[in-house]
Amino acid sequence: MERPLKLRIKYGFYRGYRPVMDDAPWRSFRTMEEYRRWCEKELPEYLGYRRTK
Amino acid sequence: MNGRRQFRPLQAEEIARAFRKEKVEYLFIGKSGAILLGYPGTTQDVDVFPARSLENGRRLLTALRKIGFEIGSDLKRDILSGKDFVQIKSGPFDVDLVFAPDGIEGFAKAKERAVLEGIFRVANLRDIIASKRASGRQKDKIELPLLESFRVEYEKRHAPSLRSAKEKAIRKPKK
Repeated sequence: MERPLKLRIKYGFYRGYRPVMDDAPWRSFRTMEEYRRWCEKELPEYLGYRRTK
Repeated sequence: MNGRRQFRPLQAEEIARAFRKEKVEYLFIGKSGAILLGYPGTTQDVDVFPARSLENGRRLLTALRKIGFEIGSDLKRDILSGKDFVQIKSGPFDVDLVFAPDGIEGFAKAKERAVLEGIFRVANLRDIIASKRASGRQKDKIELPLLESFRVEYEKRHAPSLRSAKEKAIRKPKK
Protein backbone atom coordinates (compact mmCIF):
# COMPACT_ATOMS: atom_id res chain seq x y z
CA MET A 1 0.00 0.00 0.00
CA GLU A 2 2.98 2.26 0.54
CA ARG A 3 4.01 1.87 -3.08
CA PRO A 4 3.10 4.81 -5.30
CA LEU A 5 0.58 4.14 -8.03
CA LYS A 6 3.21 3.99 -10.77
CA LEU A 7 5.04 1.17 -8.98
CA ARG A 8 1.83 -0.71 -8.26
CA ILE A 9 1.20 -0.74 -12.01
CA LYS A 10 4.81 -1.50 -12.92
CA TYR A 11 5.03 -4.55 -10.67
CA GLY A 12 1.36 -5.57 -10.69
CA PHE A 13 0.61 -5.95 -14.40
CA TYR A 14 2.31 -8.19 -16.91
CA ARG A 15 1.46 -10.00 -20.10
CA GLY A 16 2.25 -13.68 -20.26
CA TYR A 17 0.65 -16.53 -22.13
CA ARG A 18 -2.17 -18.81 -20.98
CA PRO A 19 -2.99 -21.74 -23.26
CA VAL A 20 -6.43 -21.53 -24.90
CA MET A 21 -7.32 -18.36 -23.02
CA ASP A 22 -4.86 -16.26 -25.00
CA ASP A 23 -5.23 -18.05 -28.33
CA ALA A 24 -8.12 -15.99 -29.73
CA PRO A 25 -8.11 -12.25 -30.46
CA TRP A 26 -11.41 -11.86 -28.67
CA ARG A 27 -14.46 -13.73 -27.43
CA SER A 28 -17.77 -12.77 -25.92
CA PHE A 29 -20.48 -14.42 -23.86
CA ARG A 30 -24.12 -13.49 -23.54
CA THR A 31 -24.14 -14.31 -19.82
CA MET A 32 -21.52 -14.76 -17.11
CA GLU A 33 -22.80 -18.28 -16.63
CA GLU A 34 -21.94 -19.05 -20.28
CA TYR A 35 -18.46 -17.67 -19.70
CA ARG A 36 -17.94 -19.71 -16.54
CA ARG A 37 -19.05 -22.87 -18.34
CA TRP A 38 -16.71 -22.15 -21.23
CA CYS A 39 -13.81 -21.71 -18.81
CA GLU A 40 -14.59 -25.01 -17.10
CA LYS A 41 -14.91 -26.89 -20.37
CA GLU A 42 -12.07 -25.39 -22.38
CA LEU A 43 -9.32 -24.13 -20.09
CA PRO A 44 -6.64 -26.33 -18.55
CA GLU A 45 -7.51 -27.04 -14.93
CA TYR A 46 -4.23 -25.65 -13.64
CA LEU A 47 -5.22 -22.13 -14.68
CA GLY A 48 -7.67 -22.16 -11.78
CA TYR A 49 -10.82 -21.07 -13.62
CA ARG A 50 -12.91 -24.04 -12.54
CA ARG A 51 -15.50 -23.47 -9.89
CA THR A 52 -15.12 -25.11 -6.54
CA LYS A 53 -17.88 -27.50 -5.54
CA MET B 1 5.53 -19.36 -26.19
CA ASN B 2 4.87 -15.70 -25.59
CA GLY B 3 5.20 -13.58 -28.70
CA ARG B 4 2.71 -11.05 -27.47
CA ARG B 5 3.58 -7.45 -26.86
CA GLN B 6 4.54 -6.82 -23.28
CA PHE B 7 2.48 -4.65 -21.01
CA ARG B 8 3.96 -1.21 -20.42
CA PRO B 9 2.99 0.65 -17.25
CA LEU B 10 2.09 3.73 -19.23
CA GLN B 11 -0.68 1.77 -20.95
CA ALA B 12 -2.70 1.67 -17.74
CA GLU B 13 -2.66 5.43 -17.65
CA GLU B 14 -3.48 5.61 -21.36
CA ILE B 15 -6.65 3.59 -20.90
CA ALA B 16 -7.78 5.71 -17.95
CA ARG B 17 -7.05 8.91 -19.87
CA ALA B 18 -8.83 7.67 -22.98
CA PHE B 19 -11.87 6.70 -20.92
CA ARG B 20 -11.90 10.09 -19.23
CA LYS B 21 -11.57 11.92 -22.54
CA GLU B 22 -14.40 9.96 -24.13
CA LYS B 23 -16.49 10.22 -20.93
CA VAL B 24 -16.78 6.46 -20.56
CA GLU B 25 -18.70 5.36 -17.47
CA TYR B 26 -16.56 2.58 -16.02
CA LEU B 27 -14.83 1.14 -12.98
CA PHE B 28 -11.74 -1.00 -12.70
CA ILE B 29 -12.69 -4.20 -10.92
CA GLY B 30 -11.18 -7.61 -10.22
CA LYS B 31 -7.61 -8.11 -9.19
CA SER B 32 -6.49 -5.26 -11.42
CA GLY B 33 -8.68 -2.91 -9.38
CA ALA B 34 -7.26 -4.25 -6.11
CA ILE B 35 -3.70 -3.79 -7.42
CA LEU B 36 -4.41 -0.16 -8.27
CA LEU B 37 -5.53 0.28 -4.64
CA GLY B 38 -2.24 -1.17 -3.41
CA TYR B 39 -2.82 -4.92 -3.20
CA PRO B 40 0.58 -6.55 -3.77
CA GLY B 41 -0.49 -9.12 -6.36
CA THR B 42 0.01 -9.53 -10.09
CA THR B 43 -2.37 -9.95 -12.99
CA GLN B 44 -2.41 -10.26 -16.78
CA ASP B 45 -5.85 -8.79 -17.35
CA VAL B 46 -7.25 -5.33 -17.01
CA ASP B 47 -10.82 -5.86 -15.81
CA VAL B 48 -13.23 -3.08 -16.65
CA PHE B 49 -16.84 -2.80 -15.48
CA PRO B 50 -18.55 -0.44 -17.93
CA ALA B 51 -22.06 0.94 -17.54
CA ARG B 52 -24.31 -0.91 -19.94
CA SER B 53 -25.86 1.49 -22.43
CA LEU B 54 -25.59 2.01 -26.15
CA GLU B 55 -24.08 5.46 -25.70
CA ASN B 56 -21.49 4.23 -23.21
CA GLY B 57 -20.70 1.33 -25.52
CA ARG B 58 -19.98 3.80 -28.35
CA ARG B 59 -17.69 5.85 -26.10
CA LEU B 60 -15.94 2.69 -24.99
CA LEU B 61 -15.35 1.65 -28.59
CA THR B 62 -13.89 5.03 -29.48
CA ALA B 63 -11.58 4.99 -26.45
CA LEU B 64 -10.35 1.45 -27.06
CA ARG B 65 -9.66 2.14 -30.74
CA LYS B 66 -7.73 5.28 -29.87
CA ILE B 67 -5.35 3.34 -27.67
CA GLY B 68 -4.72 0.70 -30.31
CA PHE B 69 -7.34 -2.04 -30.00
CA GLU B 70 -8.36 -3.61 -33.29
CA ILE B 71 -12.12 -3.90 -33.20
CA GLY B 72 -13.91 -5.45 -36.16
CA SER B 73 -17.61 -5.39 -36.90
CA ASP B 74 -18.51 -8.56 -34.93
CA LEU B 75 -16.69 -7.44 -31.83
CA LYS B 76 -18.19 -3.97 -32.17
CA ARG B 77 -21.69 -5.48 -32.32
CA ASP B 78 -21.07 -7.52 -29.15
CA ILE B 79 -19.72 -4.54 -27.21
CA LEU B 80 -22.61 -2.32 -28.26
CA SER B 81 -25.19 -4.98 -27.47
CA GLY B 82 -23.72 -5.19 -23.97
CA LYS B 83 -23.04 -8.89 -23.69
CA ASP B 84 -22.25 -9.82 -20.10
CA PHE B 85 -18.60 -10.57 -20.81
CA VAL B 86 -16.29 -9.50 -23.64
CA GLN B 87 -12.64 -10.49 -23.60
CA ILE B 88 -10.30 -8.60 -25.95
CA LYS B 89 -6.74 -9.59 -26.71
CA SER B 90 -6.29 -7.71 -29.97
CA GLY B 91 -4.80 -4.63 -28.39
CA PRO B 92 -1.71 -3.45 -26.57
CA PHE B 93 -2.83 -5.38 -23.46
CA ASP B 94 -5.60 -7.80 -22.50
CA VAL B 95 -8.85 -6.29 -21.34
CA ASP B 96 -11.97 -7.97 -20.00
CA LEU B 97 -15.16 -5.94 -20.31
CA VAL B 98 -17.42 -7.26 -17.58
CA PHE B 99 -20.84 -5.71 -18.03
CA ALA B 100 -22.47 -7.86 -15.34
CA PRO B 101 -19.90 -8.90 -12.75
CA ASP B 102 -20.98 -11.67 -10.42
CA GLY B 103 -21.90 -10.49 -6.93
CA ILE B 104 -22.44 -6.80 -7.79
CA GLU B 105 -26.03 -5.67 -8.15
CA GLY B 106 -25.49 -2.96 -10.73
CA PHE B 107 -23.23 -0.24 -12.04
CA ALA B 108 -24.99 2.71 -10.36
CA LYS B 109 -24.64 1.27 -6.86
CA ALA B 110 -21.05 0.20 -7.46
CA LYS B 111 -20.20 3.69 -8.74
CA GLU B 112 -21.54 5.27 -5.55
CA ARG B 113 -19.09 3.19 -3.51
CA ALA B 114 -16.17 3.52 -5.93
CA VAL B 115 -12.92 5.33 -5.22
CA LEU B 116 -10.72 7.53 -7.34
CA GLU B 117 -7.09 6.40 -7.19
CA GLY B 118 -5.09 8.94 -9.16
CA ILE B 119 -6.85 9.03 -12.53
CA PHE B 120 -8.31 5.54 -12.09
CA ARG B 121 -11.91 4.93 -11.13
CA VAL B 122 -11.81 1.76 -9.05
CA ALA B 123 -14.63 -0.28 -7.57
CA ASN B 124 -14.77 -0.50 -3.80
CA LEU B 125 -12.67 -3.35 -2.42
CA ARG B 126 -15.82 -4.81 -0.87
CA ASP B 127 -17.37 -5.04 -4.33
CA ILE B 128 -14.19 -6.52 -5.80
CA ILE B 129 -14.19 -9.17 -3.07
CA ALA B 130 -17.93 -9.84 -3.39
CA SER B 131 -17.49 -10.37 -7.11
CA LYS B 132 -14.60 -12.78 -6.65
CA ARG B 133 -16.47 -14.68 -3.95
CA ALA B 134 -19.55 -15.01 -6.16
CA SER B 135 -17.52 -16.34 -9.09
CA GLY B 136 -16.52 -19.39 -7.03
CA ARG B 137 -13.36 -20.05 -9.04
CA GLN B 138 -10.43 -21.98 -7.64
CA LYS B 139 -7.97 -19.17 -8.25
CA ASP B 140 -10.22 -16.71 -6.44
CA LYS B 141 -10.72 -19.06 -3.52
CA ILE B 142 -6.96 -19.09 -3.01
CA GLU B 143 -6.73 -15.31 -3.20
CA LEU B 144 -9.79 -14.32 -1.16
CA PRO B 145 -8.28 -14.60 2.35
CA LEU B 146 -5.41 -12.34 1.27
CA LEU B 147 -7.77 -9.84 -0.32
CA GLU B 148 -9.87 -9.79 2.86
CA SER B 149 -6.81 -9.11 5.01
CA PHE B 150 -5.78 -6.38 2.62
CA ARG B 151 -9.25 -4.83 2.80
CA VAL B 152 -9.10 -4.65 6.61
CA GLU B 153 -5.76 -2.86 6.43
CA TYR B 154 -6.90 -0.62 3.56
CA GLU B 155 -10.03 0.46 5.41
CA LYS B 156 -8.02 1.23 8.55
CA ARG B 157 -5.83 3.56 6.54
CA HIS B 158 -8.65 5.09 4.52
CA ALA B 159 -11.28 5.58 7.21
CA PRO B 160 -13.76 8.33 6.35
CA SER B 161 -12.69 11.57 7.99
CA LEU B 162 -14.63 12.74 11.03
CA ARG B 163 -17.48 15.03 10.20
CA SER B 164 -16.95 18.69 10.93
CA ALA B 165 -18.83 20.32 13.81
CA LYS B 166 -20.87 22.31 11.29
CA GLU B 167 -21.85 19.17 9.42
CA LYS B 168 -22.77 17.46 12.68
CA ALA B 169 -24.96 20.40 13.65
CA ILE B 170 -26.73 20.33 10.28
CA ARG B 171 -27.38 16.62 10.58
CA LYS B 172 -28.45 16.78 14.24
CA PRO B 173 -32.05 15.59 14.47
CA LYS B 174 -34.53 18.23 15.62
CA LYS B 175 -36.26 17.58 18.93
